[in-house]
Amino acid sequence: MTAVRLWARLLRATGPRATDVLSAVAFAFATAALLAVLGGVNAFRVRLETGAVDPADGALVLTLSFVAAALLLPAVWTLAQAAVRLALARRDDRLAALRLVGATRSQVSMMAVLDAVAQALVGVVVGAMLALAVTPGIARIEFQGLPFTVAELLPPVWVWLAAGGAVVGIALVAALASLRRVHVTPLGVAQRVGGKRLSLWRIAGFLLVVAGYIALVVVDVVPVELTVVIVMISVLVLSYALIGPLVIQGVAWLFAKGARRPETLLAARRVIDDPRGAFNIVGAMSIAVMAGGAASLAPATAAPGDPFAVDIATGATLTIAIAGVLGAVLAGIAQSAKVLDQRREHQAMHKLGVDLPVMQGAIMRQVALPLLVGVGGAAGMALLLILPTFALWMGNASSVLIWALMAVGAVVVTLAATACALPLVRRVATEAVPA
Amino acid sequence: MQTNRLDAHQLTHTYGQGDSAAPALADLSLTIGSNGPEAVAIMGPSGSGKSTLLHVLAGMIAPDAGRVVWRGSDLATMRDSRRTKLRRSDFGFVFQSGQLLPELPAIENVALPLMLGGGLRSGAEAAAGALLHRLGLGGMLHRRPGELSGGQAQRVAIARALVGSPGIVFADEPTGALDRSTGQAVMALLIGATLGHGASLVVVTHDAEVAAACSRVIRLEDGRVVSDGPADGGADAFAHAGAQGAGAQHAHAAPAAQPALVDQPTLVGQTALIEQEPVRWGAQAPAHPAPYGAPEPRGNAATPYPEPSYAAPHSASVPVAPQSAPVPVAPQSAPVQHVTSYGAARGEQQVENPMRQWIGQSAGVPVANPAHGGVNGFGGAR
Repeated sequence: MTAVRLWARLLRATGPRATDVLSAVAFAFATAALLAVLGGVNAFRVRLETGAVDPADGALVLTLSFVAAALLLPAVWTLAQAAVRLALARRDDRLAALRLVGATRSQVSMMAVLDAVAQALVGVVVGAMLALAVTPGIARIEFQGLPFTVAELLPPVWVWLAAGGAVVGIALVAALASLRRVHVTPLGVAQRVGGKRLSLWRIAGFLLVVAGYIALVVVDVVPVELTVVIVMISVLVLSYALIGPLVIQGVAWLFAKGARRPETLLAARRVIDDPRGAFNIVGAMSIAVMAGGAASLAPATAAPGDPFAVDIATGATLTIAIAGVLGAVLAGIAQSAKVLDQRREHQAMHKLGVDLPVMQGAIMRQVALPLLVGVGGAAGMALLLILPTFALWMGNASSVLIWALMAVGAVVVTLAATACALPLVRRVATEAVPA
Repeated sequence: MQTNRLDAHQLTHTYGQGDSAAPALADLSLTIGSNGPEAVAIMGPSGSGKSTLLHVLAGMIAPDAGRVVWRGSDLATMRDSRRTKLRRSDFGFVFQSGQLLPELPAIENVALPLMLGGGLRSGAEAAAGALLHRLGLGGMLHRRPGELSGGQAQRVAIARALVGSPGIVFADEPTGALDRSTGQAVMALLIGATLGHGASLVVVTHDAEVAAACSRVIRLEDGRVVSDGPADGGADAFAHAGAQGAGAQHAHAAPAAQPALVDQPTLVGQTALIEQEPVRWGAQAPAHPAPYGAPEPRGNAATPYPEPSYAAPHSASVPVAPQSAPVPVAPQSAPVQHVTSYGAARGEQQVENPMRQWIGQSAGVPVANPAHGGVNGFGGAR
């Protein structure tokens, strides 16, 4: 209990710091996104159970909403992790000082975990309010030929509590994991050896999923139900996360080889160093953009007035929007955490005469490069599907145009959120040099 | 040609305000490099203002009052962006640790300053590769800082400090994170390579051994200079040896007390730059076939790719004639019998013979300690 009392006293003494606020904001967005997605799933469940929609269509839409939720969950998880990193970013100085005056390792760990959990709790409360605030807006969206009602979009209380508990739980687990890493190798923080090796099992896993998909869905080796087909499609989509980091690392390697500008070289090397971090920002967005591109063709190919085809396109657009917002917040938070983590590096660069625009350019390119590879690649794949069939959708181009606008919007919002980390570069790099 | 002279006039700098104000620099004036490149150690107890002085001299912080004039411009009144650019183009820096970018391999860390200055990547990497080869890191071009030992990382930092041909290299406790023998080797390399590039070295240190390796030591207390003069130890000895050595007449037109790049070894200051065929250490070190488009060989053009070794004498033995007077008026001279040195060619180990050319040459015995019987170039005797 000493640790809890000490933590509370320090919190009262110093008050929240800028990083605490940012980290709480990240938890809030993660919670709000999670609740919005769960609200949508709940609405489809209610409609199916009350018989408001055709049972077959209703079941299919409900399954698809689960796919969309599954797609967004890793983004929520990554965002919460980034928030924890930010919460712990400034811990080193304080924890070291506490250790010096005799705090035990477990007391110090306890205090760091309390930091992360407290911010998660604040974020969960704010996020729940945010979710409530946007629900009337979501209710204007029409699915299955009917607009949502606010009541449909509000899941039972236990779902809210479970979602909040899950976010706080993620914070707890991520904080403990992060501290354990520090404990196991005290030098691991300062001395990074080699890039993070990506296992080649990722390729094997991806190929396995592709083979299963081809066997069950394309070739129909054994007859399967539609639900299995949808599950296979979502597994295929999620398996992108297996090879995505490898692809991004490979492209970053090419960029590093060919870089002429120092900021490009620095950004590419940092992406090579942490390809999973780079992929996490763009992963959900890229999948949503790719799936959304294919879905945008649905209204034009379906019979006129078929609500299911319209629902597919609307659902895909919504998924891009949520993935875009999550990706943007994640980019801003993750880059801020990195700038703080690499404070000494930035200070040294400033001393050595590296211009601030070069350091800031490297921070931007660190996000722009995965965006180009991930979202750019996904959009390119979708365009391969869309462009040859333009005769099909020329008369009904609105959903394709909306898709294109959403994709561009997601990229722009992500870059804008990244730019929020730039003032931090100036502050960290030019911080008073100790005497 | 611009002279690499740095003048500080009446520097005053204070941290804090009111009662808690602590003067870090108090009306401090000094000049560095007035007679050509020199290695200057700034020493003093904690809080004496030595780090503040380094930061002010290097244009990292502007003093409250006073001027720092470098190549005719006052750094104190310069805009921050211009000072940043000047630090990149005219100065080199070596810190205690944590200065290399952990994501970049050694060669890219070293090439970065040139790329920042607008240089082409290919040219920057060629120069960086050649310099790393010279500093004995030819096999580690593509290792990242986390894969290097502390001494190797400091050598990469030295290469990065020198790659842009700076006028002055500033070092802040460059051996503070290293063990003693590695620190000595790094210091020898830092002094030898910096002076060899025609730049002055300003090093802030707590370490008397580091200071003894420099040609001049400035001691600070409470932000004031309390002493400024030649280092203790054998600086005079080697300066004299250089002046009297066979190769001295080939030296650049520099004062005898200054280092010069020559065909023959010149024993100058306490660290000598020897440009010669690679010293081969058994089967370990094949001759490098001038990788990365190595620059035109300096010195003897007949040598295909002379690889200079940087080495610092650790101790040299000279016979001492019996003294009749307690303190001789002028330093004695005697032929060197034995030299031990630290050299970059062998990494961080102490080696016996890269300076065997010195044997037989004339060396002066330090005036202050004529009965010593040895010349300690690096502080403590072995």
